[in-house]
Amino acid sequence: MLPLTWDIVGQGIGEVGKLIFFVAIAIISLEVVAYLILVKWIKFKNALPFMLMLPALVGVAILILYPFGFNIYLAFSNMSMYRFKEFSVGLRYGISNLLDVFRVPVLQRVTFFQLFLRTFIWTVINVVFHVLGGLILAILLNRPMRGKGIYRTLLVVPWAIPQVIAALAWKCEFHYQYGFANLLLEKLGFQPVQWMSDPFWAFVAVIIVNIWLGIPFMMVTILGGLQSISPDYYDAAQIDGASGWQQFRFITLPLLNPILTPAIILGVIWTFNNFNVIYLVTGGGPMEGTDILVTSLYKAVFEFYRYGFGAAYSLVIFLFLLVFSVIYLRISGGFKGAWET
Amino acid sequence: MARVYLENVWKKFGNVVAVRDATLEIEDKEFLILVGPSGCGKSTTLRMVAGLEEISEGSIYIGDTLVNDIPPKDRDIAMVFQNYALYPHMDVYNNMAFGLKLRKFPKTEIDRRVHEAARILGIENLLKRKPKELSGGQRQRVALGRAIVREPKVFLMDEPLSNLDAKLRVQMRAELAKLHDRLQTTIIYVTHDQTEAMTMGDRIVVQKDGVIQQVGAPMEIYNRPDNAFVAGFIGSPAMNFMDAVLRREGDDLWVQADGFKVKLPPARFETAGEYIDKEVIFGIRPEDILDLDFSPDADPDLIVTANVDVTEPMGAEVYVYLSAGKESYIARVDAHTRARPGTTHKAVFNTEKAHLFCKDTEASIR
Ligand SMILES: Nc1ncnc2c1ncn2[C@@H]1O[C@H](COP(=O)(O)OP(=O)(O)OP(=O)(O)O)[C@@H](O)[C@H]1O
Ligand SMILES: [Mg+2]
Repeated sequence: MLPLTWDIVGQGIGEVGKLIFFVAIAIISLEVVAYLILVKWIKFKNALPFMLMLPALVGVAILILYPFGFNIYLAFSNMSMYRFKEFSVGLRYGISNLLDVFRVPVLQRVTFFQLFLRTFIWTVINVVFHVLGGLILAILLNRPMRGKGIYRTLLVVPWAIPQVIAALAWKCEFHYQYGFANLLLEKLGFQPVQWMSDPFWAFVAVIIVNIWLGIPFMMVTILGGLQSISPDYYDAAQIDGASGWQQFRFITLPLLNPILTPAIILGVIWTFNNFNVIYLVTGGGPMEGTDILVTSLYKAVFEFYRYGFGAAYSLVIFLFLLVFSVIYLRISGGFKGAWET
Repeated sequence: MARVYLENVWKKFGNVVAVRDATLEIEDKEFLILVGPSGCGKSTTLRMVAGLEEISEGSIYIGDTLVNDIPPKDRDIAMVFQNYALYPHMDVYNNMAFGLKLRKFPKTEIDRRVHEAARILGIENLLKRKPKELSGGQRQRVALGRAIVREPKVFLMDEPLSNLDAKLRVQMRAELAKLHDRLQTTIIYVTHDQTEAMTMGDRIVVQKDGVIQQVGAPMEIYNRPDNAFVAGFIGSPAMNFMDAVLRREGDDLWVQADGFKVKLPPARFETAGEYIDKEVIFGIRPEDILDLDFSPDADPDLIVTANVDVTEPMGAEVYVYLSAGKESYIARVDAHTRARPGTTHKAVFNTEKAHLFCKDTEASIR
């Protein structure tokens, strides 16, 4: 390894500076062009908001729209390990890729439908426990008590640890002989469990890890929501004769809705797409028994090198999430505040 | 029977004593006003009666029941909150119906009561709106409606009119008084507005720093305040206070202040005799300082010559800011007064109506 000298530091700063400089130049020229077109040429009334949004819009276009477009392009190609440089593009390939998603095993044995069902179960179990756990902890934390700050800090730890590290640590805890999971089971008088070689228990293990990881986000989000509910409503509800449960049902839940809705949508999307935990803890194994859609997608592309197929596959997954989000927004009244009509 | 009785009630928040040894009896169907400056413990008192705040010491009875350990929902009370606390996610109808629904009233009965209350309050056309879509005055009426539909034994109202504009406030004051006549329930009404206190209640309780200062009918409190605080708090503009010394000259009792000296009625000897040659606080209400022009027959011993600093025309009358020596005071005189800023003017102190307070305890000398 090279020793860190002032030369290298200077070089690094220079590189960063250069980048900032070019980005600044790019933004300025962008704004100048926008100014000339919007203000001078078409004399657009709302030019300023558009000019302010422009850099962000361009950033979104480069980082999201372009890759997305390229993905669609790949989905209509027959790019694979054998045809990496000289692949061809055409509707024919697109259709065949798309059919393949449902026709042939995605990896060696699991099919799309098995994966979809498993992803569905994975998502539902995880999100239900995230929300329930987060809600219960948030309600407990929202009460006056001593040492609240300490509890809150401890409970946020899973969120603060990088997912990769947490997942790897948990992987060790599920070791047959030394892992704390089996040690605990034995202490309680149960048989140790083959966490990593039995597909069912492996699936249970990754679910446990992901629940542990996901609760803090929900807890913090819901706690924020709870704190924004004025205690006056509870006073009024008590006078109106509401029991503790009724206060929760008729005051807390509806007023939490504007927070819960986006949190649940995000939770579903994140869990549905959660690659890290499964890939790092079980690697999708044993025998593809814990693979979900995204881990199999990754493997199809980067272990089986089926680029065209993978692109088509990813589009299918994307469509599912899109449909889910739209339906959920419709049903729940979306991001509207609780006190709007 | 919905008598409310507080017996030696204390409320402490850590080191802060919000209510100190309050004993108070509110009779059935009485309209009782709780008044005092901000932070004096009015809301806390009310919230203890409601059951929203634990009682640190003492007992509270509603009817003949000791309610210390009875939760709010079983106390048969309704409360109008200082900031309304309407449920933001329910429309006006449901805000009003919520309490009845929880108490499992039949639908038709709920409907009847809500519409009845809405009619009384003139908010029938707002039933479908959310609180956010209402003006302050409308919200306040919904908050009242939510209390009315419950038909409780006791109403607790915490400054329900404080957010309204002056005109609406006057109107709602009358509405509330009418409502009380009609519903025939006990009302405990908190305000820091002394006009509301004077005009609305059967009796007034004046509170300061958590301590009840005086309880009595409005005019009784106005005419016979127990101490300087009550005297200064009730009445607008406030009573004038001046540092003075009592002097005896022959058979007469005089008040000597910096800049003037006036004679007190002889009856004062009995009550104030022991204060002769001692410092006292001399209090006189603005309407008891007369314009000599309008009272030409005034006793010359009551006349004070003062500088006119400012005049504040209020329409039918004028507030004249006078000063003599280091004391300054306000007189409330007819609009035709000739007092002009920068001139001197002769005023008459109607000492029949004047008050004397002990310099140390501020207690009324009478
Ligand atoms: N929850 C609380 N914790 C600590 N102190 C409190 C609490 N509630 C009230 N107090 C204190 O108790 C005292 C009385 O408060 P309270 O709200 O009863 O006043 P108030 O007479 O209603 O005033 P306002 O006219 O401003 O509404 C105040 O000094 C206040 O700071
Ligand atoms: Mg208050």
